[in-house]
Amino acid sequence: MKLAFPGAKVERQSLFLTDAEVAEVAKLSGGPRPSALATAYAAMKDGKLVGTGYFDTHLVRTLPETVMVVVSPAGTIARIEVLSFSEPEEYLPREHWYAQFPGKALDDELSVKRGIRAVSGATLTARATTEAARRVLALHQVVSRRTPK
Amino acid sequence: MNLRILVLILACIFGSLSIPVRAAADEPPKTMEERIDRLEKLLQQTRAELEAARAAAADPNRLAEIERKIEVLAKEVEQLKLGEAGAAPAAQTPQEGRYGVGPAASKVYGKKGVSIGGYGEFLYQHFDDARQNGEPSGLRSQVDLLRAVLYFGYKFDDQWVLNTEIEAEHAVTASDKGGEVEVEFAYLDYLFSRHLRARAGLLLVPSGIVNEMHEPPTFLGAIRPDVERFLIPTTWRELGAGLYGDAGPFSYRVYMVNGLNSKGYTAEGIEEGRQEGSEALAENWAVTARFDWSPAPGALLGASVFSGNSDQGELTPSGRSFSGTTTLFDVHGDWKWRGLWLRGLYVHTTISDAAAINEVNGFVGDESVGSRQWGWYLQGGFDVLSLKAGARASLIPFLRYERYNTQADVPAGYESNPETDVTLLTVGAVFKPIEPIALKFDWQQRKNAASTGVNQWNIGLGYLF
Repeated sequence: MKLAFPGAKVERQSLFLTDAEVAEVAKLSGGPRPSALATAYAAMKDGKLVGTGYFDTHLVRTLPETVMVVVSPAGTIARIEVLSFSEPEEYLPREHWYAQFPGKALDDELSVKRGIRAVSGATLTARATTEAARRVLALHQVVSRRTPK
Repeated sequence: MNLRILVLILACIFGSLSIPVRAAADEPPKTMEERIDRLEKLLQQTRAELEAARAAAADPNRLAEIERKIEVLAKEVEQLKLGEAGAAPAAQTPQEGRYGVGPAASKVYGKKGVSIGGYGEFLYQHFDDARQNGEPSGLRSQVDLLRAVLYFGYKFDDQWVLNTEIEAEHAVTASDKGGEVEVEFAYLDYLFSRHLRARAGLLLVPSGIVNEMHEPPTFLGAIRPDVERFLIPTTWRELGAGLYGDAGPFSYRVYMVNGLNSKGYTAEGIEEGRQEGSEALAENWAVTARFDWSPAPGALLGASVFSGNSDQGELTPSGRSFSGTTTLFDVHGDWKWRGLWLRGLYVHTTISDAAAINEVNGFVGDESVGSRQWGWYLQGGFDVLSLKAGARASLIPFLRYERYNTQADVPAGYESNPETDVTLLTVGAVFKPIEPIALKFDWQQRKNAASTGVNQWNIGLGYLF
């Protein structure tokens, strides 16, 4: 997060989702029910929110991948970073594949069948990463709707 | 922090709050996922209890302490979920700020251990009763477990990686069966950087598209394209070593491998000249290289070459030496855009001393090895389910047109068999309920210049994991 937002102050926040929120994230993302526990890293600069980062760990084939998805204040993807990839590297898309994500919102275009182009030879990773991006955007959308206490 | 200690702390918290945790602690969690799941549930319960304690106006100091402990435990659960990615210290991240995977590359390959995968394909083929010219084909329908393959990889450390694939073809290996058990590849990689890596062992020759990427859900059609079976003899692997890597949209491979053995060459191509790492003759070596460019995500353009002698020390019956230099060149392209998937490939092969090879192999007349061979195909498919928002499944009707000739030229004194001049049209569809599983159905019209082609239809079922 510090790399993504130089000079920003990063605040960590544990998010405990209710059953209704978990169901809502699943519905919005079009995927399975996520964990009820998530962590958001809010980057603040000059008193303003400049981005929120989330980590998502998921299986690619038989082994996990962890990505960091940074969501912009507008609710679109600002950046995706692969932090850990346990499958053979042949299944890891090249760098420029990830450049498709910035600016993408949680809509029908965020899919390897639509606005995200798949990669021959790394199809499963492309799909898993895109699903993670959808999951994070859905989570961000749901927790952003919460009424401040 | 040890998991047992975590659970103990939680138990203490719950004990102090009079929450029954005995049931959860009775059965120790068997997997990491179970442990994390149980910890998450306990955390949720703790938070609910905390809310209740707040409502009951409990001692503020005690509430603050419970809140602190909850936060500590939430961090620990997150750490367990993230695994190695979470454990890597920030100082390891390169300081260059750029988008994409690059900045975290030092951590990407940090995971050690075993990787397991595999793929397989079942194939049913039904042949027409009559040939192109109306004569009986004599071919009978067949169903086969074409291949079942297990992949094992092992990451020794950040630099050394082993990749292997063990394949069983046609289900049974026995004296009365045609099956085979093969090592499809087995090589060690040393990773200097993403741009430069070394590889040694039984390598996949980097020709064409299907040879390196042959899992059934990754190609259209129940059967691989003929051009990538007879002209590029997939799955083609030889023993050797070389370098590979990528930089931005470009990637390359350069290997030196044992040469082909022309004793296996036939009028149908070089397929039986592969040595496949089995007591391979190493009198000749070959150089093979490949260069690919991905101008945009989903698009690939590239070319490859393989060149080397193939005599392997053999002499003609008259005692004359020859080289049998075999040079294979291909250009290929693959483009995926939304539901559209286009693929094309052209391959050209030349073989020197084809007459000498014919002498060695005892070929006469139209049995000659082709001194020049070529083939190409174009293929297009469209995932109609991409039109439906949110669809996970794919349904891809496709069409593939192939032309090839394995005896485009033969040496003086020999003649081409018109059966080796082939036109093949494949029309069908692939249904993928999920990405790693493909159900395939297609019809093939196979024509040749001798009018002896036989049409067929196929059903395939393939998987990868």
